[in-house]
Amino acid sequence: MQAAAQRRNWGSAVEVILGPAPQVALYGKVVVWFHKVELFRRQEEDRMYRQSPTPDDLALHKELLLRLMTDGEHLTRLIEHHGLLSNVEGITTEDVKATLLSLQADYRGWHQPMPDSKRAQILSEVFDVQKPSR
Amino acid sequence: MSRNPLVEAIHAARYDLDGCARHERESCLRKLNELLRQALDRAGSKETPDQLLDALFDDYREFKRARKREEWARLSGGN
Repeated sequence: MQAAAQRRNWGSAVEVILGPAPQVALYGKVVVWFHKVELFRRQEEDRMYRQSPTPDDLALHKELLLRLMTDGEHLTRLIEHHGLLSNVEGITTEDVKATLLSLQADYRGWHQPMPDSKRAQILSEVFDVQKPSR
Repeated sequence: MSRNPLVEAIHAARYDLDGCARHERESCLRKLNELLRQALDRAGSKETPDQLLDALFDDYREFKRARKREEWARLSGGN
């Protein structure tokens, strides 16, 4: 906090010469990452849900997901180190982690599918059916 | 096959997590995890919530397609 106050005393000179405070820069990266995830979700809807995805769609979907997950894991580590700036959007560290977990679950679902025998065993055990009833 | 309300609730919670506002992600994930835990506990299963989520993925994909089709129809003025 003292360092932050000291930076303010120096006005824009600190920002211009040293760059933004780590927490400010980190928050900016988090916002950009959320934008990327939302852009991905929109395109995913178009390419993976409106139609049957082609092999190329699947390959690119996998590549994009991997990149978003890698970036999300990196951001999570940075947040754990620097903390996440309190922000008007009300985004918390846990929101970032939840978004990352959602991407990871989708990655497993699309690209690391559970073996049929294991799936059948779990669904049978939990719901007493061979396939989930809908 | 008859609809299973708990499976439907799990799919709906996952769908919400995919599309909810950024600041609501934590609460959406918590709700999803509670439902997964409820299903596992009710069955006395030792599987993890992630494993159950993965086992349900194919069905979830169809659930999401159906929800999206409804949204697209609404947006295009159809229905």
